[in-house]
Amino acid sequence: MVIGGVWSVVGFTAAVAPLTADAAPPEGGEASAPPLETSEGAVRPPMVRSQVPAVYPPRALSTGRSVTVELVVTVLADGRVGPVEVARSGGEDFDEAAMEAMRQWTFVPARRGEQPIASKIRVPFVFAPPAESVPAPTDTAARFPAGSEEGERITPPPTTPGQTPDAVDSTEASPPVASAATGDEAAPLEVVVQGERALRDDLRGAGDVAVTRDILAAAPRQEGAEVLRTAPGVYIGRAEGPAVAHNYNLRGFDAEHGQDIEFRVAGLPINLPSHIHGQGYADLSFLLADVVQTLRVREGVYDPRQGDFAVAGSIDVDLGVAAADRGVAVRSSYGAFNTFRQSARWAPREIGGREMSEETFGAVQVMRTDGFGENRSGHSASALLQHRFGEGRTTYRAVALLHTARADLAGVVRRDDVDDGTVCFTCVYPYATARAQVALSQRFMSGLFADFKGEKGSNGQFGLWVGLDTFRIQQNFTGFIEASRTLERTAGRGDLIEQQNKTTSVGLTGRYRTAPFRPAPWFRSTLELGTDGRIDLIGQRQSLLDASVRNQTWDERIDADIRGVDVGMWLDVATRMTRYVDARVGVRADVLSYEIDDRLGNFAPLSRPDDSFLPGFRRSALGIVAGPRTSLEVHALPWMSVLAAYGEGYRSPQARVLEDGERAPYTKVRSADGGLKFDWGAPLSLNASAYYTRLSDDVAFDAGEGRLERTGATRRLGATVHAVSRPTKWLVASASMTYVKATLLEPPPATADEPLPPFAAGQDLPFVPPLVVRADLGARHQFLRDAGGQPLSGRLGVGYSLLSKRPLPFDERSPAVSLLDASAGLTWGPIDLAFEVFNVLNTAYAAMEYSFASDWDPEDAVRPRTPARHISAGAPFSWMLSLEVKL
Amino acid sequence: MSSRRRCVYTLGTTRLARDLRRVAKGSSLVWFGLMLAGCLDTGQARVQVPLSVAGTELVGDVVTKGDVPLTVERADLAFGPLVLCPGNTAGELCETARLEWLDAVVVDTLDVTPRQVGLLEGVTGQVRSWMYDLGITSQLTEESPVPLPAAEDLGDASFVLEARTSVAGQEVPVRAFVAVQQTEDTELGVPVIRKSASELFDRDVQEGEAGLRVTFDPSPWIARLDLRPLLDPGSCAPGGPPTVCDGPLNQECAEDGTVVVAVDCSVEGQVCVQGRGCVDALILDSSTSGYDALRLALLAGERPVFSWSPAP
Amino acid sequence: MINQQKLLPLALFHRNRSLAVALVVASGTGCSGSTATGDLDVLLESEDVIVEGLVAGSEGENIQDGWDVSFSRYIAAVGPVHLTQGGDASTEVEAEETHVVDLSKLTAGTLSLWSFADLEEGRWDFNYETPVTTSSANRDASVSEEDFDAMVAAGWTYLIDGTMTRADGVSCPPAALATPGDATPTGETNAGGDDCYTAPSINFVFGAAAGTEFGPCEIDEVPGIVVVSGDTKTAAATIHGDHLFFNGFPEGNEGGISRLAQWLADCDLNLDGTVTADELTAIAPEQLSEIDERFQLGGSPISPLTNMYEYLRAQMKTQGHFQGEGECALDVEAH
Repeated sequence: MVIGGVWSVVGFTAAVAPLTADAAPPEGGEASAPPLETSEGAVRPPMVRSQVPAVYPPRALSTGRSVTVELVVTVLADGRVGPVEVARSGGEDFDEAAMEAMRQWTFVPARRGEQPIASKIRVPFVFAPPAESVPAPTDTAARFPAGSEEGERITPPPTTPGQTPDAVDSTEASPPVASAATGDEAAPLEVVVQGERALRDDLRGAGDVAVTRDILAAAPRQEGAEVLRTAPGVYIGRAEGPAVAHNYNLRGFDAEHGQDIEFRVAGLPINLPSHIHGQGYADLSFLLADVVQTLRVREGVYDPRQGDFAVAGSIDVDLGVAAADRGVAVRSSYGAFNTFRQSARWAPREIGGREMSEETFGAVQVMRTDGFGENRSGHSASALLQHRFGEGRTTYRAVALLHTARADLAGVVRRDDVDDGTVCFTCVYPYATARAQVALSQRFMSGLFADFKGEKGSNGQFGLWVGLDTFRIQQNFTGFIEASRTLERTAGRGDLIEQQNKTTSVGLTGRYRTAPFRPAPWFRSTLELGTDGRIDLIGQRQSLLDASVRNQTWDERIDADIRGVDVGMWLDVATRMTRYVDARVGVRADVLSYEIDDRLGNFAPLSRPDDSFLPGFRRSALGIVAGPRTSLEVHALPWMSVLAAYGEGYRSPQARVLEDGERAPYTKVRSADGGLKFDWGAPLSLNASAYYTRLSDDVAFDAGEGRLERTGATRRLGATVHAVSRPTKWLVASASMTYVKATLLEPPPATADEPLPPFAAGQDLPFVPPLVVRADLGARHQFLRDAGGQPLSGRLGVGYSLLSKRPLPFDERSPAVSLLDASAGLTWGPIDLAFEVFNVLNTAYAAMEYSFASDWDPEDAVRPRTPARHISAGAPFSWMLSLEVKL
Repeated sequence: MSSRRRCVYTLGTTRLARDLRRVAKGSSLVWFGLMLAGCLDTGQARVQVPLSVAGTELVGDVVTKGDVPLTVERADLAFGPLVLCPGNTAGELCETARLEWLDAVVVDTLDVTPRQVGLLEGVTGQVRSWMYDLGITSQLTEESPVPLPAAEDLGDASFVLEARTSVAGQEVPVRAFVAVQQTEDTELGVPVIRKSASELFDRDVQEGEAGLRVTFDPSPWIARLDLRPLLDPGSCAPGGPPTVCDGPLNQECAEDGTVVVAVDCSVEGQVCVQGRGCVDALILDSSTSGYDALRLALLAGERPVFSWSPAP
Repeated sequence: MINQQKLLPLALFHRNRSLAVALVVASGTGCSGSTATGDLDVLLESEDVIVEGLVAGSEGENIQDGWDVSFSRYIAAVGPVHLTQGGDASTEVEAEETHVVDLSKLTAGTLSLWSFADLEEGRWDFNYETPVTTSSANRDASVSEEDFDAMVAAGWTYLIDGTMTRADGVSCPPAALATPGDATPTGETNAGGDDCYTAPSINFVFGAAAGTEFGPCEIDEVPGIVVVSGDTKTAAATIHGDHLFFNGFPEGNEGGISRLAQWLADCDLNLDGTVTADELTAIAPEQLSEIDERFQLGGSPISPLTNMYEYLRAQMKTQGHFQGEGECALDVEAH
């Protein structure tokens, strides 16, 4: 939902901030202002993190006059200063001096809930001649009252001094400087929160976090999707090359290709239901890091807007280009393994005199690489477009993405073969069936969203989207152990599994939140009703190919069409009682139906007469799942909140295994969360949470079929600590640690193939690393304000990920993974040069590791049947040099 | 099924890992996390179980069908590979085995002395069925079964029998070379001999399993032989076979049933075998019912005894 | 001085205890706690070859050596049916009836015999038995009292009466066992040198105890059955009829199997046109030249296989299937 253009709340009478020493202290002496109440959650105004005083123009010194300049400044969501406009001119020299100073300020951005948002503030500068220089401000971190997106009038809180970041003693400045004027005589502050951005979901659980651009940009990223690593408890790996979705891991969930995480990018749902490679398959390869603005991670399932696949949680990626980065930029990158990347983005600041929202941009990228080992070359191309348009109470956002990639796959190699030198760590087996491993992905998605803002705080959203996806993979995990179920005495031709999945999706979303109901001054409550839904037309096939004979098909395993409909609906009551308690009680229900045309159902060509029946098994199923989504936040102290939440979610089934009329096809998720949030402003914010999640049944990777198969009920009990610190204006640090005890509560049901499944109740869940640590460090510094007419600045970044040892089936363990990436960059005016190194220590690690039975030696007389460790090598040390030119 | 817990605080061998460990020591929270993360309960444990084989001492002759006594001098069996499976039925339903021994050895089934031949390797847990080959394995990647070295030592055979019997006072050497393997008419890639659903075999294999012994007794297999059609005395008869043996005499018969020529095989130290005439020994090849008797006995006859050694 | 403002959150927490309770209540009132139930009818299904017979031919499902086979009686004792739920099968329900049914009379293919009511909805593992017949079993109308009594008296699981026909068919019983009486050999012998006799039609009649537990069962690699709340679903225990002619004991996929019948024709030792259990019992596998390398008996559910009656009994223990071609693991003998 969108608010109409830029809207403003005016009428504040409070001073901008006590920027001068004699500013009046606030009543009560609180260290920070309480957040403002809106139906979308508390809005906290921006705070000055660092300020630079304006220099009195030397040419005007002789006049000896005092001059006031008022600027309207956009404080971006990442705390940097965006566009600056002169609202009250003091003359060209004074205006320029004020604007030059203003552009060097930094802020802790305004926030709605935990969500950083852009805002506009009015800042007056009072220039006094040297003799009249005002004392330096002792407390410059102002709490600017902020409006809300509902457009309601907000009574500004008492002006409060915040922390004291880099206070600048103007008395020591020479030449004389001007402080931003404050005090009773200062012009009324106008705080405007930009309404362009769609109203975002509030973060509810203690583990919820929004990762802002400065942290996302701190560490180097080989590709856009790696920004996910910044989120607490998240680890992503690339086990199957650039044309296959990453392997995601979120707080104790081995989400494989996405079955446990609901992904949305710019509001578009990314997970694909009933995908043949795994439910909820979510390929984020199209993401371009430069246009990822914010990452909102909701751990657990406490928000009624969370739908299918929100098992471990949801991750929303917001796209945009911040004001400071806007313009046209072209970047060329070249790196190790003959990797070449060319990207371009355009984000005009204004078109036709109208200022563009930071959500408006276009970006495109092509990439090629030889890959870091045998059979790993790949190509990809992505295009992303987004435009916010419209004025008034309803604005619109159009977004589209297009992506394709084709890449060879190295697949897996047996660890014992690596150990004895049969095959090297990054190699593939020398058989046609291994070398023919390849994947192709094609995806198009587009959506149009209308965001509405009512007069009294009501708001809503309406959206339509469409998606087309093609996935094809040839992959061999097990070597030579398959036998045809279709052709007599046909076996051992290589287990090259071909999977095809084609999905056409159309979906809608809509919700409406009422204006606040205020029966008492201390009580306000809003009600939201919403729906989202989709229809998916899925075609999928799985076959075995003989790569040595022109990919002859030698067995058919799946040939099915599925049509699935998911209609979700929710109700959410958000209540604020005094300024201390936020309670949300909601419920979500989903109705899912499937029509399945399983063309190979009942197909037993080798044992039944051809004329006794026709193969095929067509069926339909419908199920309803519903559950509460509740959360409670107590703002116990200005700098500390206590949170608790409980919710029930679901994961849709692999439709192909549904029986006719099956009504209980869902994985039920029960999730509880409790924790503390500490916010000491820029120096440190810290979340500590403990969580519990129980799944009615889980899935695990089955190498024999190259897809996910059902296991039993599971439980996760864990804790996360996440800290963000901006101790100085040039440094940002983020660190998180997640520990989880993931337990299999019951073994999977016995089958004819697996009468005694190799799992024991109470054992640690395979593939889940108990400990995930992530640290990001970014530093920026402007070396020269004027180096040949352009400022020169540099930056350094470090990212570190640690995955502890992971249990695998059959008493195997995957060793810990410890990865360090680093980057350095120089920006000189419009030119940016970056050098990034990945896996600095050249650690040989497995991007994924499995344990299953295979036979990768077809010339060996005896086929092994006991499980063995198999690895998919992770990328070794690599580097990339990038040159970006802003036009 | 037991589970296994290991606490290993290893982060890897990189320099960074070592540094991290030092850092971790200074951070109790991280250290606590690593400690917890190092304890992984994977539900199963890797094990190696010693495998030994033994034969059975034959007391006296083996009495075959028709009360023909056979003095067995050699009964060598190529045994292996051996696979132990979790389910009650093996074969195709045992895609993932618990324990396996991928080698094959020649077992002197007359030697009672146990001989360790290798290690069964796999994981702990219940085993409820077994399957094995007799030195010749069928692989999915090969159209024809492949003899392992143990079978090659026996002349590409699974079982070699050397024995003596007596016919009309003359000692007759009996030899058999039996290959037990999948054929083009049977299954591909599955061991030939698999535990019956009705047989009892159930073991919760744990760490420290002392060993599995497979004890073979060839006498019931050999007892299935029916040598009478080959050794019983015959006589020329109208419409009968062109040659018959009457004791050591190899007689060539006329169509009217009269004897044309009679040769005493014993003169040359040979024996007379019906249908074959004078030969050095009675060779049971695939054209004889005796060969099928041994093959079927090995396939679906009396099983070897699988016995688990008591835990130390 | 105590800062009242700092104490306020705590006070609010106490005041809002009712809210917390409300949250907890709300969280527990989802649909998760529902115990929806449904019913299940279990059918006994007869493989179509039991009703329609097997046909000679060269296709995989044909009898390869020229014989056509039909059944006039194919009486089987089937049941109880067990359903289990949970990875450790901790929940089990049973329809304990044993039904004795002549499968060859199931011209409709199926017969509804077992019912489960009020099963918790969801997926259940499916298991069933083919036990030996006792007097407590239910006799279906398709089975005569005489046959039923015979099955009870002998403790049989199956009573099979069939006919195999081949225009140029011969029976070549093992010479050592044959009692041809007045029958005249055709002058031809089989590979074992046994005389052959003209036999265009041969009956076979035998009963056998073949108690077996089948399960867990799956089809198309999906285990068990699904119970739907408020609905009555059906599932079928399917008895195959062609295993008697298999040349081996495949586990799982039956793809590598050939169907052969000449060996059964050769079991008519007295050449009276009917193969009986006594004749089958008298013949060791190695005495039939037809049981050559084409037969793979290594996976027999009964060992040792000492005679052809045992061989047939072993094959009967593999005939239980699920939903047509679905597979079931075999377990220890049923009680």
